[in-house]
Amino acid sequence: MKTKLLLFFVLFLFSLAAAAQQGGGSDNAKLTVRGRVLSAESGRPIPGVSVGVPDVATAITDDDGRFSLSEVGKGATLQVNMPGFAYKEVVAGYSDELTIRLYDESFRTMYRQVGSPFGSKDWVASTEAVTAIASRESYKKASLSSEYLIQDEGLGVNTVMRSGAQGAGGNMYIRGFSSINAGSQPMVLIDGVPYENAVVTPSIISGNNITPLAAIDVRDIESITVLKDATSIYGSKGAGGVILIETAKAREQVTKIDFHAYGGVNFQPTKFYPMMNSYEYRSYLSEMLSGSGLYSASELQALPYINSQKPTSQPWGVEGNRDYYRYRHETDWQKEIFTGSFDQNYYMTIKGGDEIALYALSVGYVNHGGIVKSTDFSRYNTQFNSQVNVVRWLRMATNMNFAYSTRNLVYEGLSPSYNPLYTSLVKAPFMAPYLYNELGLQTPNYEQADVFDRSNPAALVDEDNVTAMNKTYRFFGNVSAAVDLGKHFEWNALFGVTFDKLRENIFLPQNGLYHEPLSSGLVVNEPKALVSRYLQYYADTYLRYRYQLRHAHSLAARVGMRYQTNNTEGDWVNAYNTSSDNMQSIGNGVIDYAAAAGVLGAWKWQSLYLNGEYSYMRRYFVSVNMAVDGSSRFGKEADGLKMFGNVFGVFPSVTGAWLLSSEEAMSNLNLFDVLKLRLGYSVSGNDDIGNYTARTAYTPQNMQGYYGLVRGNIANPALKWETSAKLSAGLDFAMLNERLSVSFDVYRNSITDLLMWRQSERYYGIDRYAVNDGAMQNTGFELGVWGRIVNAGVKWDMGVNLSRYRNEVVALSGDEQVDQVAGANVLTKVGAPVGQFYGYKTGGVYATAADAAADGLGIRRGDGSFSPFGAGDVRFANLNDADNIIDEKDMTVIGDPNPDLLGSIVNRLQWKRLTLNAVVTFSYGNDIYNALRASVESMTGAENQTAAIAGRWSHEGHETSTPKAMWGDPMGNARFSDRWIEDGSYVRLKSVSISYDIPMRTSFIKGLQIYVTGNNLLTFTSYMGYDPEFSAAQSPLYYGIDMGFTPQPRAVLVGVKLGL
Amino acid sequence: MKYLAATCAVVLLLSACRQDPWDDHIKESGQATGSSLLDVVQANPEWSSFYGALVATGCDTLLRSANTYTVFVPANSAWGAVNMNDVAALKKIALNHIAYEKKLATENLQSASLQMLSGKVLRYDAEKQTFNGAKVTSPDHVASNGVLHVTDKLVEMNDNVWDNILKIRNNSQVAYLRSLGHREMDMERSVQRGVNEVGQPVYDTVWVEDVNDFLKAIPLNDEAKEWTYIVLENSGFVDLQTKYTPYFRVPADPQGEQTAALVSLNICRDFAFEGKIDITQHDTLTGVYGVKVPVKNAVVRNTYESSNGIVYVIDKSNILLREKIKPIVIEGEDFVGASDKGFVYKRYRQWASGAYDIILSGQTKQSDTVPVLDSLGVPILSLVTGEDSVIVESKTFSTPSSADVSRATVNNFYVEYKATVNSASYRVHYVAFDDVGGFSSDANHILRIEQKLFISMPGRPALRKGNSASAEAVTNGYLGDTICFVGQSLAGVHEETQLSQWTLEEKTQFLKRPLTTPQAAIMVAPNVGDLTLWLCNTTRSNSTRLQGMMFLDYIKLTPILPEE
Repeated sequence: MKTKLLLFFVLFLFSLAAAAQQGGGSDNAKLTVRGRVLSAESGRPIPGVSVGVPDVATAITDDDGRFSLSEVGKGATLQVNMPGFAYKEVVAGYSDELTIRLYDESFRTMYRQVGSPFGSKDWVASTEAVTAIASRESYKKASLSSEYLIQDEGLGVNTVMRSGAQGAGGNMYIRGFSSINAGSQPMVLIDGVPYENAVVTPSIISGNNITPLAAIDVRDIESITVLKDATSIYGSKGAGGVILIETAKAREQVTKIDFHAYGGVNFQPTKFYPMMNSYEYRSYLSEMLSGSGLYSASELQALPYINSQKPTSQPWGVEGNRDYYRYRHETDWQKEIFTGSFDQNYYMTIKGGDEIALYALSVGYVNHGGIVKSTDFSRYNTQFNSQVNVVRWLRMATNMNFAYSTRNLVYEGLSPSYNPLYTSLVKAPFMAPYLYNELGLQTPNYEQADVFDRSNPAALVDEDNVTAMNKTYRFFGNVSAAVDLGKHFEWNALFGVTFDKLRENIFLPQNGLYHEPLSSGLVVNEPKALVSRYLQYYADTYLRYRYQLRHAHSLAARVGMRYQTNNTEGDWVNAYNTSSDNMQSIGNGVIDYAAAAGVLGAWKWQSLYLNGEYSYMRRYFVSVNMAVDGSSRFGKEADGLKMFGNVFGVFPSVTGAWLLSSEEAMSNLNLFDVLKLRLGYSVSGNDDIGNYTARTAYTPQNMQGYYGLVRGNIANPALKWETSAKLSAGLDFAMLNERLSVSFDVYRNSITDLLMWRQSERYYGIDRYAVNDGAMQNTGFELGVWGRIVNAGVKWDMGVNLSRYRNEVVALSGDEQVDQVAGANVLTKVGAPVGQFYGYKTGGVYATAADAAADGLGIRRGDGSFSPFGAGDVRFANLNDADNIIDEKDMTVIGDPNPDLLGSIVNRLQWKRLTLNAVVTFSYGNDIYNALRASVESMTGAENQTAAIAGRWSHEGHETSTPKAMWGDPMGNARFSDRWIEDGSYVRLKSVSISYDIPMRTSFIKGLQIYVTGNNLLTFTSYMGYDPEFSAAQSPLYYGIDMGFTPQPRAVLVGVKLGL
Repeated sequence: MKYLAATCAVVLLLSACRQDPWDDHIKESGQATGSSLLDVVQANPEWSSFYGALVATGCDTLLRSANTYTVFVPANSAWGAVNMNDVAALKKIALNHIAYEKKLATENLQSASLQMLSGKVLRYDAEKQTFNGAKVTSPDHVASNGVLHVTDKLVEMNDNVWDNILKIRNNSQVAYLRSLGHREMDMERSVQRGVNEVGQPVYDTVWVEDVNDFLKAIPLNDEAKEWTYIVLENSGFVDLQTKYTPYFRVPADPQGEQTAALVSLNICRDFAFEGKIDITQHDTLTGVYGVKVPVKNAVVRNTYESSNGIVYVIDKSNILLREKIKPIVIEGEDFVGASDKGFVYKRYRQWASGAYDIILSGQTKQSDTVPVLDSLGVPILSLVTGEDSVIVESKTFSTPSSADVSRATVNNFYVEYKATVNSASYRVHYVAFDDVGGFSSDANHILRIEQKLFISMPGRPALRKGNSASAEAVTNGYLGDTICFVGQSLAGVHEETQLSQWTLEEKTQFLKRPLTTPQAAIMVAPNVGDLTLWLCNTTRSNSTRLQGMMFLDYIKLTPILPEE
């Protein structure tokens, strides 16, 4: 396979070279070029446009838009520049007179700039598959972090927001899953420095994810570029793709001040789980408990929540059911925990400078309320960028960012005691948030943990009662220098520091909460704290060589080295049972129960790299990259290049592009403005295999009060990086004077040496160890279509991004592996995509005993006895005909969380001073395992269930799809089956905003814009959960498993932008 | 602009056709039976009489509530004889047709006893498909809060065993039972209003009527259990009274009233049996207190079928005295007191009655006559007597054997027991088995276990330490301070030893000599009631730390009864 590929490449390069030779023949012919520059919208001529070939000839258009250039080589590329208009290039010499139509600068032209590992470059000259995210108007969306922008336009990036908790961010998967057990996220670089986007110590507020990208205000971002292939320049960190973020810098010396402010409302969700009401629940509970064997009929009637004898006041006290009024309510608990909330933001940026130095400074404050009561996110941030021309041959730049953010959170996921969202579903609807006394009067006291060991959801979302706070501080700064060394050489150096500190404080009081007991005793309340820090030093230096020969040959080459050290520390303490809910510090807990833990981590990465870019006649482009990477994470005996006593990985790539539209034949066709073919092959690695997996580690062990060290793992000194070989081909073209542009990519990413965990024999004492085993591949395509649909008066631009990936496990030494996640079985099997749901197929519910008897199926009990299904049990498919027992042999694939198609539709309409932006995102054909619904329709205990359970099987002959209620679910009707798999397809109006630029006549105010934005206003889905978009974890094994997350809030906000 | 409008129109259209996926999901989940039991009853004209009864008696709110019920609905034709205006009677009937919990005929009605709201527990006969006399003609009408079964008749309403007993007139046994009824002050509900002049609390008293003490022990009115009760005709009752009276003499009862009441109570108790029993199929029944009651030749005069069992009236039953007055076994480990409980050890022993015995930590010094042996081990002949020559040798036995453990040093160390006896004569036995290895291994020195047993009779002064002669002697009101029962056994021998009376030294209460009269082996209890028994050491020696060890597995009192 590899040799074939290589052969293919060699042929491709030869064909380029041959084409170059052919083009070279006409290079010497000089001619005079005439033309006219017109406005693409109105057709009127544009005077004052600069047209020319740099350093050769430049002309300025006259009042009629005409220009004339002599001494231009045939086939040379003319650059057309005019402030306020979109930059354009045209090929000269193939026609007598050129007509150049220019769009305004908001136009998304094929000649726009995109980011690259070595500064920005023209997209049209790019040999790689890159996606550039337009961020000019994204401030209107009021996003807290840049994942939201990437989701809107990130063609080929499957961006899934983790939850609707403010600042939770999203997971990004570029071209499918890059790994199963190692890190699966792309590398993020901000201003050339790796930005650690994984939280080093996981949040102790269970179920929460904190995105470090929330430290960067999206308005401080100038551009975002996604590199989907050819990431081998980043060596062992590039396998998951790369996201390059450039912060906003001053471009001109004029002082510009921009002030932004917005205020908005997050609406209380309207989509709730329809739960049983008090009547239905009491009836269900009564039926469940009577079948439980816990109570006799008369004991059951005496239970305070069943007994309907009203209390009466007598001289000697209260007679009757004293708790009667506590259990006679109709509470919609979901409405008790969800709320509407407010957003506000203030942001100011000042840019300016002189010939020596340019600076950009911004400060901002933002506060977004959550839609779960007591939650919010607030951040203070500042960014300072400067560029200094120290001397003629030395330029320096600094970029610094500091952000402090505070999040008030709640537990998320299937946490029955502490997640208000989950608790609000299972909580008895006949109870009330506040205690009612025996006379039916409401008291100001919360209802405490109830008889079913459920917390009071209202107490869980009371910020005066429960504390779950996260505070993060991040400093991210770098200083760089560029030194001119003569005509061809330049030396660059960059040094960056990241310092991140995270504090979390939790206090779970006794008041209103149920606490899971410890093995050592009962828990009354729980203070917890976490402190973690992360320190990264990064240095990158390279020498650049640049050579230009008569505008035909252009060569740039770089050789450099990167070095990174990382240090982490995380320490946390869980304490228990302080003397009172008012004593909230961990020091007040009972000393015998307190448990402290911590992690230290250090790792280093070094990369030597080489880059070469060559283009001929701006038609043929070749780019070669290679990185040689060493890391402290690699095993000493790993398979690789041995240097200096260490193991290094070698990661080469070669990519090429052919701008067909610059060929005479194509140009004369007048069909394509731009037509470009791309082809690339690159190898990159994934070093996110754990800091010490390849090394023997020891952990402390307590033995009767004495501490010693024991082996903490089974080291695999041969452990190495995961290798990703990316083969990618692309076609970009623009037609109709660029009014339609299309970008189409196909790819195949082959990932080998997957990090897999193997179970070890019991007598090892350590249950698993890591190996490089197995391979998978992602194949797929991306199609981006962009068009200016209307171009007169109203300007309507529309972009459609479609992408599809197909993941397939190609090799696995164990052939198949099943992981348990939140009650689901997740299958990893050769020939199938990773993450498939593996469970039972069902065919409704047996209506009659005769139906059940006809099938004759049953389950095998623990004691070996056979227990047949009866009327009201689920009809499971008996796939293993050999017996009539429904067991794991009958499991099959019941769902695939991977979408068939995903993407977005981006619209921009401009009419005079009004601008409308609308983004629709969608996902099609993905399945979701609704673990939350599974747990509120499982009918195992006293928890409240959804309204569907009111229609459970109730009598012989009852046709229903819901089985009968049986305490403890002895027949396993609620087992992991297709009952819980739902279609997760959705279409969402992610954001829509209308802005109006108010005409200003003063010289003081340069611009004033007001805008109204709606986020997540509409979602079309047949998914029954709160939100079809969520992400439990980065591992593909968790993909599409809904454990009950806060839905994305619907928000409307009004903003103003003032330019001074 | 029109594009904007068009876009808005499309968005609005889409949002209009947006459907909640839950609607489908809930619909698919089958027809939730939204209507309550009451709605279902009301909807069917065939059941209007029952509905009328429900409304008239206020039971309608019950069947509308969320608690689940099983309801037996008699069709209209079944209500002919019922007076629909008698609300109290109607309510009884209605509640007798409603059971707690949902029981489907196809599922869990089969083996169920149903707790009815009337308090009765009724049973469904799955084979005959009848429910307490009514045929279920149409089962399983499901409502949201339970299930209805249609019957052709009203469900039978029987009184319970107790109510049926009280119906029997002119009967001594029933008269006695009825006489146990009284009213009690309800301490929880009574509110104290103040105190009287002598400081006693004064209550605004709330009374609980119809309290019958007999039911506290044997709840014949408990609908959840089944009972069989036998009432004797007056002659049979008198026969048993005569038979029982000598054995139930109450102390200080010159008129014999209390004795008569105790006898009656005992007879009444003996005729209560658990479960519903057809006595014509049995020879003997065993009552709740373990007394065997012969019924083979009884003539059944009357039978009362009851909701929780059955009541028989029979002519007589000749309960044998040996079934009524039974041997009494007092387990050693069940001691209620001791001179110092710290020295009394409860031991787990497989051979022991009740799996435990007790041992007193102490020491005994015992002198034995031992033959004198020559170097070959042959006894040496005495030159004086011509017999084997002997010497007296003493050995100290102690438990525990370890020297540094403190042992009981009290003279006349006692271990106290209580037992309830009838007014009868008893033989006294005990097992005092010394299984300590070293105490029986030396043939010349086998421990002789001698223990004293002091007894005080019901209604008489209790045993106490100290009398005029000695502060350490035991004062005994039954046989006097100088006579007690004594048991003798040998270490290593496990057998039941009969105790008999010995005379004692006055001051030390050392054993003097055994009494030889036939009465010496008999304990005569003049009254019914509680005995106190003290098992004591200090039989031969009171020297410091040598008062003697004690062992006891159990004491058995065997009544001496006339032949029957």
